[in-house]
Amino acid sequence: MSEASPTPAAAPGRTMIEVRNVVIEFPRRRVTLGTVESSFMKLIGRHKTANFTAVNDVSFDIREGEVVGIIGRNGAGKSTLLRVMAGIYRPDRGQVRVGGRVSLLAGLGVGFNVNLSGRDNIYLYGSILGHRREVMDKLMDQVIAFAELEEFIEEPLRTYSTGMRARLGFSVASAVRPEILLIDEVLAVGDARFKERSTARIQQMVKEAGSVVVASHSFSTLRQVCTRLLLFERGRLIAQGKPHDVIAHYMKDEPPEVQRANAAPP
Amino acid sequence: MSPDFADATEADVPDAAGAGAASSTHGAAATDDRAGLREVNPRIPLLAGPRAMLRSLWTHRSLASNFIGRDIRLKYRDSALGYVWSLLEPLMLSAVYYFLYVVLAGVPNKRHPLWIILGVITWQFFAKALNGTLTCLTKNETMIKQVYFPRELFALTTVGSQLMMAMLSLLVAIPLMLYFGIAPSLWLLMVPAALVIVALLALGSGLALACLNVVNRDVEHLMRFVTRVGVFVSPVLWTVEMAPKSKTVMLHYIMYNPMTVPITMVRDGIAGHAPALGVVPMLVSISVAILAFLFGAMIFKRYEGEVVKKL
Repeated sequence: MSEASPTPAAAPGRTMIEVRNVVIEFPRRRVTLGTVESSFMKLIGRHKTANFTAVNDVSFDIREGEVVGIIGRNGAGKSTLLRVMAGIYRPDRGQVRVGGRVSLLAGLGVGFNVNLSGRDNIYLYGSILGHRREVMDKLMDQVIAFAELEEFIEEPLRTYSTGMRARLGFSVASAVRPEILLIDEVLAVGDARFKERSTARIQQMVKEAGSVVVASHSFSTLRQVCTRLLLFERGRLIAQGKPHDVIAHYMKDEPPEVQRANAAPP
Repeated sequence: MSPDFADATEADVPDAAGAGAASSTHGAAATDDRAGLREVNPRIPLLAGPRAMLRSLWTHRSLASNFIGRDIRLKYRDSALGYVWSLLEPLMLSAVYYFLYVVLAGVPNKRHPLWIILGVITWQFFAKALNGTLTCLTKNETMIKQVYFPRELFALTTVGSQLMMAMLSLLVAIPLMLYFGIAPSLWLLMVPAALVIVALLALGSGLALACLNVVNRDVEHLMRFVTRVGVFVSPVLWTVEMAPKSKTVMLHYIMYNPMTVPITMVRDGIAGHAPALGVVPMLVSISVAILAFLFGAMIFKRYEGEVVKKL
């Protein structure tokens, strides 16, 4: 196991993601009776407030064919880092460069409108994810079929159950295969039957994507799918390497009952 | 990967030249396989803001048309009369204005209700477009945090759907023109031109304030008040001709209001005569609108990346 060295020697393929010295600071929000003028001073950076550093000087590379897991406790910066790679947050220092189309699987169905029909929502959500209308036209039947919503697709979304909405969201989000797939936490949605199918589809996406980064707490899944793990603690990358080794490193600070619950199968 | 999927990939590269320059800074460490990498969400130079904004509107045209379509469909949903309301409401209002202004207040101009209707529709377009633009980051917080696309799309599509609705509402002029016996003329072309001026003004000032509003939401409360007061300060319920001729200073101040020219252009266009205010104020108004847009776009693109972390 190497201590945060940028490139592991054994990695195959070309570089798909290059994260260099990325720092993300969140301002601690405090709105008082500050005048518009003083907020303008804050905005242009003349007025320094104490910041919370969510990601602290992180560097790593991810090569084609790798499936990299990100682990760490709540607040370690896992989601923030995924968002930086997806372009949602711009690093305060450092930069992220990518070698392909990035897709972040998180917040399924964001932008859904309950008063539009299922079909309209497929177009809407598809375009939010960056797919052109022509692409969605081609994928439409397949998206509806995978969500198993053929009979309801012209009905407004407000008549759908929570599970139906989740199925529709997942079906759209997973319809296009990205070159770089970022997955945030648990994605299996819907009833048991759909959970199985969506898990299978994620595995298919992982297989077909150039590179995958997945943030999760599920060590059994990570052991199965990942070629490498990155361990984060309070915004810093503190260890990386083979899943087994990194999980062991993480576990040695955990209480015994957590260790037992997450022990590797014999 | 099919080239169909190039949409988002292209969109995230505001400047190909800029990306190339960024990769050369890593020249020492970079091996050949890194040449194709592009920076995610790079900083945009202040002056490149407007161009980046127009480019993202083009690359995300599917998103833009979906957002505009959504807004319009939602406006008329679950209503039997639907779009008819957009005509019925101003028509009924003009009956009220006729009673208030022509019957009660004794305004000599019988067409005054028409001028008010046109003023109100134009002003409402401005107010809704401005308020929609300046709240575009705060209102879309959840979407901004889950998925990336250039955030100006929220502002551009709000103004776009308001523009569509304003044009649909302005069709109410047709029955009123028939009633007052006004023949359509080529001057009607001033109407869409005026709406574009209004759109650029609203977009520019809204974009300039949108980032500030994330830091301090007093901005949106203040601006809601400003757009309400503006109804009376601008020639919405009155016309420029009604300003007392003896008080030239007053006329002077009226002309400083950037909404005076576009509102008057809409009225002149419908009335079918040359712009009553003259060509020079029109050219000034067009220039001010374009400058407002350029300024707003620069401010927005410069600060948007920083303020989304405060959402």
